[in-house]
Amino acid sequence: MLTLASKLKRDDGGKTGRASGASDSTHRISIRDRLLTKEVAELEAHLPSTCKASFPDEDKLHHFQLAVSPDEGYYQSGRFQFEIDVPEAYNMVPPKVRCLTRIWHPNITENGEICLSLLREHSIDGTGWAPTRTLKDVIWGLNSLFTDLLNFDDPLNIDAAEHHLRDKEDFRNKVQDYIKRSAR
Amino acid sequence: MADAEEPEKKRRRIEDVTEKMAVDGGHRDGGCDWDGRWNHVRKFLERPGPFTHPDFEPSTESLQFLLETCKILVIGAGGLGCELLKNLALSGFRLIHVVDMDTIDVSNLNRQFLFRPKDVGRPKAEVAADFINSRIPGCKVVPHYKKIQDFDDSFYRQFHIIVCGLDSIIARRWMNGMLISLLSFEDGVLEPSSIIPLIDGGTEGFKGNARVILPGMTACIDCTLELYPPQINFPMCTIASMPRLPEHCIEYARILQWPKEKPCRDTSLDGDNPEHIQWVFERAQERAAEFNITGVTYRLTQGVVKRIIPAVASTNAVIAAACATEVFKIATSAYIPLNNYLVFNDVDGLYTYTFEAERKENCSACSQVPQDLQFPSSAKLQEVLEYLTENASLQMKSPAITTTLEGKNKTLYLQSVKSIEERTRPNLCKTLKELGLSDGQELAVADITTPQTVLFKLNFTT
Repeated sequence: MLTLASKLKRDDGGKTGRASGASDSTHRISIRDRLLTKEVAELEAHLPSTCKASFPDEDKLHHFQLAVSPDEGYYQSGRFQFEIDVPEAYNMVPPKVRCLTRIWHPNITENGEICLSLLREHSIDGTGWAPTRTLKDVIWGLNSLFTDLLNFDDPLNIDAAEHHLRDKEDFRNKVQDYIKRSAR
Repeated sequence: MADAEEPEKKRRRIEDVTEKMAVDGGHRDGGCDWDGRWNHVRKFLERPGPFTHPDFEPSTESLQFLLETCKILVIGAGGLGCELLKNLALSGFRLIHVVDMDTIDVSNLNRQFLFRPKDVGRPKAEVAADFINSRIPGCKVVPHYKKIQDFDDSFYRQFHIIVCGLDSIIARRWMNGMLISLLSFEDGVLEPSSIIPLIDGGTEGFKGNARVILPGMTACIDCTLELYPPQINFPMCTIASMPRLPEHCIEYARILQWPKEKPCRDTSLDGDNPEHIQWVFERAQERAAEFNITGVTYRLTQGVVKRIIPAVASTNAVIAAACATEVFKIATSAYIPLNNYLVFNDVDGLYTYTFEAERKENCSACSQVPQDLQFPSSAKLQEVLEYLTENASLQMKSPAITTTLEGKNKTLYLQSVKSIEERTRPNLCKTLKELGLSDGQELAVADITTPQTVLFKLNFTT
């Protein structure tokens, strides 16, 4: 174990270190930005065919939109817009996602709140967010909300789930109706 | 049974007793060390012993260093911070700065002993500094009622050692990242004089930990991020339809029923109002009965509503003592420092364990020694791109290059997302200077050939 005190004592008082012009905190690349550089660069290569990403500002890699157009199931023919915001504390915390399109879905409210365990900072069963997950996983999760992860048993929009339970055909019609009105 | 003393006699007796207290020494002016004041410290520094560091030579210089030169930064003036300030000040450290962005709350008073009821509402850092400065002659604690993020590297560089008593992982990571950014490398080798040791302490109830971090040399906060337990946060869908725990029932009452039923005429739920808590408690009990869940108590309700993690004074005392001891050891080099992670748990009996946390190979914070890139400031971005793809040891395919300017990301060029490629293509023809880059600028480069983002440092040759 190194003893540093001798070195510490030597430069008591005027400690300057190697002061290079750009090494102050306004130029230091945050962990989030470092991760995003890699994850965004890899984004398009791993997008499912039903998804498209768009960046309104090329400098704001932490803010983008994802359009999901399911090609099977109840939500076929719809085009759903999600807004993804990656907070400063990423990847200790998950990205924040909202659904911008009005939808009739058991796991997405009509106001756009999404119930996806992957996006939870901590979920009891360990399927929540972890620093080992990436944007790729988030996109996959969102895409799956229309297929594998469509879950009527643990709903956020209870009315939609109960509707499906009562009358599947009517549920389908309402889904398609919402799509006609806002998801084209 | 003695008679009650006359007030005058009692007052004089108390005066006598307090006047004779040796610890005050009767001196109120700074810098006046009465005879024997630092004998307890001298015992460690001016004579050899069986536990001293192999390279240790007894001398009076170490004490002088502590008293006159060693600058310590204490982050947090709460449970751990108060203990740390006391310990450091009584050990001879005089040049101490303390940073805390909080003000004093009445619930702090049971353990944050530098504060009194009259101080409620005042900034913790300022009250703590005042207390220590007037209680310990010669000690000069400088308070900062600020967030750690309000300071830049020039502030942090002035300290010899930094001790943290923080209450959030995010803050720890920020501090960790800041100290790593202060490291300087000569030809890829770390310069020891740029290392500022970070002693980090954390407590939660009856559990605590203390660790010694030498940025760039030993495991950093991010290297051991998985050791932190996940923070409890309950999913809305579970709360709404499938509760399993008493906490879910309480959250249901707090989040869903309160706003709907508005029992107190539109006021928002106040965790300090017993009536509000009682209301939530009763609703939660009803819901728990519905789902056959046990465990809803008034106390749990309070805890969940106020997001309370109960704090125990003794845990703070233990961990702060461990941290202050490490500061002392490192500042004086008299003893071998903790190597490097101590855990403490007195939930049931007493347990402590120390292990050497190892650096993570691909740690996102400390595994990167930025590689040097030499270019004239008049070089075009295109030339940098070509270097990254053509250089034999890099051989990148289509690197994405970003940087941080004025605290915000700037995407210089990103080929693999078509819409971004189109908008950043013009940058290729601009010079590095035109793009706003300066000497020492950090560039983040990601490519299919690299598992993680690689950092480079621009060195302007002209």
